[in-house]
Amino acid sequence: MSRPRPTPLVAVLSEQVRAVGLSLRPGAALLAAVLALVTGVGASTALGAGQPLDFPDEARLLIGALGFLLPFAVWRGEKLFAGAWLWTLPVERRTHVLAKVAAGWVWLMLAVGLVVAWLAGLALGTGGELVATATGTIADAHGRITAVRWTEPAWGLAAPFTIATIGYLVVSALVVGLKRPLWWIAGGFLAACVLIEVLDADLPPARVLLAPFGFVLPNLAWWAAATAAWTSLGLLAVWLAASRHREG
Amino acid sequence: MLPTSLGEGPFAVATQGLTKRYAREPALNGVDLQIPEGAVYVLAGPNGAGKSTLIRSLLGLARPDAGRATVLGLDPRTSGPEVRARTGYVPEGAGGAYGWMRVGRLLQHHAAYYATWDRDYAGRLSRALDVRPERRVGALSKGQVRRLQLVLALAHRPSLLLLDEPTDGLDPAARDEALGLLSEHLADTGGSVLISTHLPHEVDGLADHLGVLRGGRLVAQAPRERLERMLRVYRAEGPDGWVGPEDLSGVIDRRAGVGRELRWTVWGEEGEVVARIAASGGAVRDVARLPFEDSVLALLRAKEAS
Amino acid sequence: MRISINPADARPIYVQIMDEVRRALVVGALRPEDPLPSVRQLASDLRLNPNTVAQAYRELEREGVVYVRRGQGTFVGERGAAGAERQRLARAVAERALLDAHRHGLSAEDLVEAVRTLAAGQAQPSTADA
Repeated sequence: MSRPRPTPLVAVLSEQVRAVGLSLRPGAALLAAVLALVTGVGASTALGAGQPLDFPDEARLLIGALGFLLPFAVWRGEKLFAGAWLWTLPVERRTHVLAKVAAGWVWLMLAVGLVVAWLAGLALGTGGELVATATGTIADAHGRITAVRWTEPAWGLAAPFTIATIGYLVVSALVVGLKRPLWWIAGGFLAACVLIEVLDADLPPARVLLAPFGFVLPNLAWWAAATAAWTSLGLLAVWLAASRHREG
Repeated sequence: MLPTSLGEGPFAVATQGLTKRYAREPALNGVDLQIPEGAVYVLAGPNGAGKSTLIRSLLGLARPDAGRATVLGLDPRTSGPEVRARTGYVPEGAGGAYGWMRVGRLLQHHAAYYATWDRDYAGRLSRALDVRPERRVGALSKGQVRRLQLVLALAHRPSLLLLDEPTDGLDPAARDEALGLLSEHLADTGGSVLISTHLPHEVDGLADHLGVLRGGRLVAQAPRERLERMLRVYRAEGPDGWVGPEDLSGVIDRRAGVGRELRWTVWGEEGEVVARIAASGGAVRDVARLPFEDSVLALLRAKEAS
Repeated sequence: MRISINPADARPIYVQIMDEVRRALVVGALRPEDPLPSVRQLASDLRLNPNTVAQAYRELEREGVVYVRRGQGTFVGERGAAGAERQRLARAVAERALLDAHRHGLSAEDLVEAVRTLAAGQAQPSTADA
């Protein structure tokens, strides 16, 4: 005879992975449709011109966008600040929030993996390039800006996963920790636009601002350090956001 | 004047001075709730009296500003998960659940969370309450959600049920069925139940304790038999101009009847009250026990008077 | 045995259950050695608190009307024979009628006389018992 007790973490995680997976089915269908459309358009234009399908650099940013959108789908219908269904279950609330964020991340990685595999498969199948050549700007220690051009190394294929993860963590923190995340995101975006507009003359281009902590960098050590820093920041943000709901 | 303590226990639920404010407006004001083990405690009161807030603070879902609670020997502020694992909860209102989920999947969801979930029992409850697994939660009517919530609350056979307006939105047939299932649950588990309601007559047959909450204060709480013994309506007639005894204590309500008849609702020992009325020159014609619902009304009025 | 409970009745619910069992004995619906429904069954059928049903059974057992067979349930005892319960039930009915008479300002004599007159007018007072 089993005794009543709080749900073990393993059970919470596995059930959340399954339940979140179910809730993401409409989103997954949408993603598949978009991917099919992109493939169709890409194939008809590129193959029509007799060119192979390269793995598009922009795909990485698009995949990253997945990470930004996913938290809204994961937390759909969960009124965290007004008696969420989640709270009535026998699990400590912060733990529960973190488990659900983790469950969403599992599906994010799966989705990104499938998209990357699909695009890579298309590129390889048509004799195209997996790694792209890219141009970017970079600021050195003295604030001087130089343009650099590099051919992306193989580890660049990990970038979609890390970009998506970081985006997912940051937006999850907002969705979990704020009563009106959309207002904050819209407000923050507006404020940033205004700030950039006002300070326009004194600021280098946005891309440069990102460069020291950017997502796609020409050097493995830089990239690893930047990714680790951003991921830690995202994890910290999620932890703080989840802590707003802690018990005891 | 009115009883507010149930003595020594043992209690399944006991709170001391529980207080909760929303924007400085007190939702609960020094509540000392006492639910004896094995009791069916009906918490009655008008809408907005603080019933839901009280229940939520017992589950660790609302954090009280002052006072403490002990639920099944645990403090819900520090042991919320343990309390919820042992408690079946029907929340206020019909919202909250995942609208996109199918009913069967939501049952499965809960099964994954409760070690004591009884799959066969959940199936029986679902059939009895006509909860259909293939329906989408979001497409259910208010009454259907209520029935689903009852299945979810009962199927892990908790030793404490906290039911917030469980009959709200149920049609008479479903309500009748639900009450029968609650009777069976009680016979099987010997557990304790808190039922909050603003329609006490609906749970008349189950109630063995009554608490009356008004404006965030627990006006009275007593076992049913004490209530029936102490709270009575007296009808008496006397000579012209007779106003009855001046010093009758425990009077909740006094009104003129037909002609020279007077009618009191009194909390007190029947013998004493009758003697007092007789001593003042009246002839007691009738002493009646109040129906459950009228007791609640009387106790709510008592608060207004004091 | 069909037991019906009226929440508006002046009698506590457990007393109503006891009276209903007596009524079943007097009309012959229950006989000695017949089983009573289980506490769980009756509570569930009547939507009552099982403790209330158990209390009624305990009281009936104390009065010797029923007895408990370990692990088998509650059964009607020999004392539960119709004759013995007949008097007791008649007293309970009379008591209620007397209380009601008092409430209406009638004396016991008024009541008895009215009952005699009524009974004489009706050979078989079966339909006008309301």
